Amino acid sequence: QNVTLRMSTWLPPRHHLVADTLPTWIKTIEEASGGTLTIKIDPAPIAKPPAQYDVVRDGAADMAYHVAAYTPGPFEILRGLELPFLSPNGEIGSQAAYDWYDRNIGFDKEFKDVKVVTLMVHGAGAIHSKKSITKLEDLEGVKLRVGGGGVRMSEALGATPVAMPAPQAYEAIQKGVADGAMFPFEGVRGFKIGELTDHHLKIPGGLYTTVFAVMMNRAKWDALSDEHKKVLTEQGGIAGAKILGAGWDRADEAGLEVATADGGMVHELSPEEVARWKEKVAFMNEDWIKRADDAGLDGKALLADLIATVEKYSK
Amino acid sequence: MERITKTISNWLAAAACVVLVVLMLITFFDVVGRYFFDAPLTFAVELIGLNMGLLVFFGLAITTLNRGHIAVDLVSAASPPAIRRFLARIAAIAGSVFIALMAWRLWDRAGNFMSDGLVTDILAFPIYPIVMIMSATAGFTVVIAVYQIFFATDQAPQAHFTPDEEA
Amino acid sequence: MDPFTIGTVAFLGLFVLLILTVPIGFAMGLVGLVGMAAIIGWGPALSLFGTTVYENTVTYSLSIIPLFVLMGSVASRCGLSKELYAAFNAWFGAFRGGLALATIGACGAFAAICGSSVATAATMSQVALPEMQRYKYAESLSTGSIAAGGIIGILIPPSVVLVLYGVLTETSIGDLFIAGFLPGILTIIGFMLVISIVTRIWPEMGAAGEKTSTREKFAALGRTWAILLLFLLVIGGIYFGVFTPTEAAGIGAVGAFGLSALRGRLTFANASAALMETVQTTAMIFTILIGALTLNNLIVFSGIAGALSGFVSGLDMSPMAIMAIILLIYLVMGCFLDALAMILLTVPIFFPIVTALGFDPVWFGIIVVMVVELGLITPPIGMNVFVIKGMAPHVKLYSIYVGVIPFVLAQLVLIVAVFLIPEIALWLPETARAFR
Ligand code: NA
Ligand code: NA
Repeated sequence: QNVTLRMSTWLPPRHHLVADTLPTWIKTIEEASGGTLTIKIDPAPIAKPPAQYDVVRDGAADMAYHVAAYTPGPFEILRGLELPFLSPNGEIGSQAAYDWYDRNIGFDKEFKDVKVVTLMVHGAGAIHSKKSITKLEDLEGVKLRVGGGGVRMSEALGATPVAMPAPQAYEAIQKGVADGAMFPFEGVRGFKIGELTDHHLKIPGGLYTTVFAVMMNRAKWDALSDEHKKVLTEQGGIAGAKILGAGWDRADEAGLEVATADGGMVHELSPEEVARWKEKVAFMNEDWIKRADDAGLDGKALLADLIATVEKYSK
Repeated sequence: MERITKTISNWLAAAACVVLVVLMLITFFDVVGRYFFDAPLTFAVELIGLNMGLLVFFGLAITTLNRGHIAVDLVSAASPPAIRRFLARIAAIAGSVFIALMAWRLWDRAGNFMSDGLVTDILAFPIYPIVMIMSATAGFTVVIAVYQIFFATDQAPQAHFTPDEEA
Repeated sequence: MDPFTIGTVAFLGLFVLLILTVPIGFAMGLVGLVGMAAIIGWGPALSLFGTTVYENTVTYSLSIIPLFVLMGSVASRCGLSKELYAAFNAWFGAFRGGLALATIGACGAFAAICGSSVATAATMSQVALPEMQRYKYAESLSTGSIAAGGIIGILIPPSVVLVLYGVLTETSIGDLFIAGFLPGILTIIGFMLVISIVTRIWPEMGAAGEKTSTREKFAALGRTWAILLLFLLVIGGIYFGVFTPTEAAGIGAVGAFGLSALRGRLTFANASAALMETVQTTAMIFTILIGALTLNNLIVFSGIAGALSGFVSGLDMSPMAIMAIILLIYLVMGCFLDALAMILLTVPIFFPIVTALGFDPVWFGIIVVMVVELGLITPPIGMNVFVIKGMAPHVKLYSIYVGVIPFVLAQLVLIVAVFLIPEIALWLPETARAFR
């Protein structure tokens, strides 16, 4: 029998995730189920981004994509993916995320109240600014718009963090309250940052990323037929992570095109600089290892395995 | 009864005033720090967020006590006192139910936040105690609203200010 | 019952509750919650309601409201606004409706820069309302011009609503900002014309005062330095990028305290009265906000928006006629919905239809924003009107709505003008593009 799952959303409808990336993945589910299982994305948001986990847990929507970083506390182990210079792009990072997390942690610890269908991360974190930034010294005194997670990183790099919600980034840069922002290239288009910044710094390996869990309501999952569960298991997991991550990479390419079309300068951080930056933010790895240790895990081994897993999918 | 609720409401309102001043000073020092010392209060956003929750719910009791919630007063303005009292009763019932729902749902949220271990981003400050406080003050406001069902007023609302009480 | 019927019944229910004098926030919230429960069940509906309450109180961005209210309250309690209106009176008081004209100007300037209509209404009703009453202006004219003055700012950059539209539709925010400028100025002129006409017909609503000597004029102007400095601090700080509008509210509040202290007016009584007033106003505004957003959720679930889109795209009419119908739908929805929520809900649905018909996305954006801002002052649910009512409980809601009627008419005329003559919105951005 035909099943339609309702997916909650909070990004603008023209954002690639809603317009391209998720639909591409949903199509593989429809095809694999012979058209009997489909996912419909809501026309408008019913709750703010940090509430998406609760929306799914309590059944206000069947599915949602939740940003782990928006609810600090419960998903700290999964947030290891956010560590600096770890995930080079969406496709690699997303697959590695699912593989590593499923193998080492499992979804019954941090996500026990929902069914996680797959995971995804966005492309390499980059810096978009009014003035040119190519080395550590250039960041001195630069006011960078960051989400909460980027505060300590930008401080460590010598910039002045201006923490505010992403939709306020445009106005802050336009007004000069911020001189630039940390976003993947996708944000040049998605949040229109390219209109205001002329310099875009590509950071090999990615300065940071953000991890999203694509989740489903537990009861809704239990009520699915075995065939539909099989379809979601096969099209979700690592396979789904690959498709979704590739969508983020497509969006980054589109953002890069917009950045250059607007007459922006695209720089790339040199290997020597990458080494210097890595040193400045190395403490973030240590912090995460300690957090994992505190949770009764072997943080050091986990991080080593995460790096190895990313390596595996980079080939 | 009336005296106790009034006293507690006033104390809550005083607490709200303190929260408001704190809100103002955090914003001020964040901007000053950013411009003059390259040292913004990085936790300003999350601290302001939590304080906003306290401000709204600390102020809810006194606002409800003073019947400060706006209604469409077309009918009541044109009605005799008996009808006005009847309408005030309906309003108080609706207020009791709505505020009770807020209190209950916030308590439920707080429970979730506690078991999830939800904390703020930078200070890693647990969020559930704040939400519990919000829920408790909403719960106290329900008492006021229920009281207003039984002792409904037939008065039209009073002015907050008149031009001449100023400096 | 299907969701669409539930939505319709809910709106009838809302009307009944409002007529029964149930406070607006409670009425919207209860109807929204019960309607949602009917569609998705009590468990999910209650959960979502809790989320709405939490996410819209514990939130950084909304601190702009209490802090600007505090600024206005301090300025009013400590007599700074009294000085401003004494100067307005000295300079413009000899004209019929002069103070209302000055209020439109002051509201427009404040709203244009701070970008929040509700924050403007809350601030200016404390600054301007007691003063216009002091000079015996009619309640309807004084509250009407504050309510109307507040909506001007949405079109003139910076504008939260235009940024949201740009991000939703991938339209250039720069172009939208430039396009909003001329209609914004025309709105100010239109509102000023309205005041002149109204006070010509009913002179007693804003009676002309006595002429003052040049010497008195400048003496009055000299005494306004404190409040002028406060406005300059807030507006200049935002304009030159020293702080964001949200931060400006905090800076403005500190500034109001500081300047009142400099003027020797900051007594404990004044300060605590201003704080208490702000606390109560904040609780009142957020109760309405929670109610409005709960109701918005019901509308998302009811599928009304989807049904309307199906209806419009199925119409076999000329593009202009379809556009006119979309406009009408917006006007009707504006009567009920919160401005930001309305953009979030409707733009994704109508934007593809409108662009498929070949209309300009920038032009549509300006029209939508003009209609949505009109919704802030139209009955039954007009956020600006509620805020003013909250500030001045002794004023009948009815007289505020009467007061805004002429401004609504003027804004309607302007919307039709931009609709028929797109150049009003598009001329500036096109010229700017030619120079780029
Ligand atoms: Na503006
Ligand atoms: Na309205």
